[in-house]
Amino acid sequence: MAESELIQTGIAGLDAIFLGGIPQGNTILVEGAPGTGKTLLGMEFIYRGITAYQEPGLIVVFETAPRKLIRDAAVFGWDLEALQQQNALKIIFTSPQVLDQELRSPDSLLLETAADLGAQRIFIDGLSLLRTVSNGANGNGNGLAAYRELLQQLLEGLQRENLTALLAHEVSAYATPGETLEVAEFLADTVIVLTRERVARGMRRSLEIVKSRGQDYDAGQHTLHMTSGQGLEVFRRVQARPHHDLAQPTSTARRSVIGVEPLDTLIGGGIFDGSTTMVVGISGAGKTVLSVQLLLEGAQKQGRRGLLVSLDEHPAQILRNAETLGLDLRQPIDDGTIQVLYEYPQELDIDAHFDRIIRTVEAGQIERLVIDGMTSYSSAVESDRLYRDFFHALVGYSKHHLLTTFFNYENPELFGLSQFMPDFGVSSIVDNIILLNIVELGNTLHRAITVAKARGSDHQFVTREYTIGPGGITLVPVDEAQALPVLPFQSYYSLLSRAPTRLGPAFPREPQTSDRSDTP
Amino acid sequence: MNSDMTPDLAAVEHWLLSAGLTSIHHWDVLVFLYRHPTSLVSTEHIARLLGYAMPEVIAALEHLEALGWVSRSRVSQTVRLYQFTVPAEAPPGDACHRLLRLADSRSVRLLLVRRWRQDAGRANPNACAADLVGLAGGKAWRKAS
Repeated sequence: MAESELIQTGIAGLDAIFLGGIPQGNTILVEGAPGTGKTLLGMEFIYRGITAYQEPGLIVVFETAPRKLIRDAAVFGWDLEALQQQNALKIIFTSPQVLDQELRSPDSLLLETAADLGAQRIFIDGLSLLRTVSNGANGNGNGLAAYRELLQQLLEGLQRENLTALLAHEVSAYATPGETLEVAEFLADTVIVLTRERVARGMRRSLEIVKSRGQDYDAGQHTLHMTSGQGLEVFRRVQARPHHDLAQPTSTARRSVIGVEPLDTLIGGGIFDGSTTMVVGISGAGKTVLSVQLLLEGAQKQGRRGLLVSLDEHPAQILRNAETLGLDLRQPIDDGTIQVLYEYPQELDIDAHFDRIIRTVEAGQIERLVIDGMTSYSSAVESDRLYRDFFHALVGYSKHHLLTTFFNYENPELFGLSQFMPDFGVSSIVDNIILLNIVELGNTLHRAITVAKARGSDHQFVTREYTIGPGGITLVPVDEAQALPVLPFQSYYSLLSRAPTRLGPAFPREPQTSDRSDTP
Repeated sequence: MNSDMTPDLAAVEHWLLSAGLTSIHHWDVLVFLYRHPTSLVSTEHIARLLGYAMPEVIAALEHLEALGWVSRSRVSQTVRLYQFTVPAEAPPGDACHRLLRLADSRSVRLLLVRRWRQDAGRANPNACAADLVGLAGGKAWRKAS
């Protein structure tokens, strides 16, 4: 559908999930329990219409005092009083009975007011109250059939006046939607459902488009935020199918990513731009240090802007720790070549968090991204499924935008790793895996690094010792003269039991397959 | 005024007189119009919401219109569009705006109720108790007849 045929609500994030806007002429029904944000959505629809699209509007209320609406809107920075004085808005208090008769009357005061205003949008709050009209003042009306007809008349009247209408309908929080809602859902062209649900002991609001005639849209429950001084904001659910085409840009450029030459050699001369790397290791193994080195190398030597997303450590602590290793993170943060996005992990709203990452990446033209603390996400989000969806969405976005991305994952195993990621297996979707291990030699703990996977790279499949000190992570040089000779597999036993033991010279050698006489 | 919460009653009385508001009905209808600045309603609807009899509301609306507090449209099937305005010839001392800031306060109402009670008592010493329902919860009104 051409963009000119779409009405933009102007509400942050909402038009995006409508894939650009709502078809002109569609009547929009917003339903939800008290406190879900119906009135706010309607008010913002009108407010944005006036301020962003120069479309004057009417707000019709049956129960709420307009002065209260004006007061409530001021919390979000919307000066409805000023818009009324500019004759761009009218908030009309009336009754369902009057609305009904006015929309049918040839000399309607309501429509006269709309015409005087040049209104193009109308918000009617409390649609279910029209049922009282269809029941008749004494309750002797024709019930649901009359209500349906009344609603049809209302919609007809609004369309005749060429008004884009948004109608709010209450839903009881403690009962199934009533008959009036069902009728309204049938008649409206676009239906938006707002919900408020308990998450643990917290609360989460969401928005779902359940119907919108004449267009495609992002289905499913999206997160809805109400922010003082700003208004509503809809965050697309992270699992939603991306709308970019399936062709994925693939870089063939290889870059030195860490800036520590032996480490880059270990990785095979650096990893590809646009690749994703999982750094797995126990707490204290140096995952964050490696990330800081990656970002500094990118920002200072390659002109690549970086973003460190942390749920584990506050930026002040990251700065302090980097400084103790002589890594100057402050300067690139000050000049904006490296950014740190910290969010408190408790009650993390994953849709909003994902959106903030994307926005920061795009606004800051980020090329290197570090997600420090995948483990924190697993405890911050309410389900494994959501955690997995977030991870997949981030990998997908990262690859599509050719970001070089490092995910730090805290493995709970202290000595040696039996699984890359014990709580969920997503290691298959990353391109590279670097293992940071603790090794006990004698009574001393040493650090060991292994590149377990590096797609498309000629990495060294060896474990090397490293230290963390001034300058960050450095590999301990290998004295080739002291190294033990590498022997073939037949010099060991228990290879698959994760405890290979080297055979002594006196140990009888097992017959090899090729030695058997019955082998064809 | 001491503060917005505890207005000086003498000053409030002065503002009320300056603004031409002499009865509790005037005040209640004015506050209704202030809270619902553009209302497409019938007088019956206003009377129902305020708990007054229709003649009292009609009289109050006429009084307020004469003072410039409200403009009324033509009638369309028993309803009018009532639009709240601040009188063009506002009384000196910004009394209108000061009063409107007290729309959510009990002070003005209590003052008017007290005065109205005194007036009613002077006119008919036996009528006062019968006409007044009470002041519970800060609300005082006469039974709609």
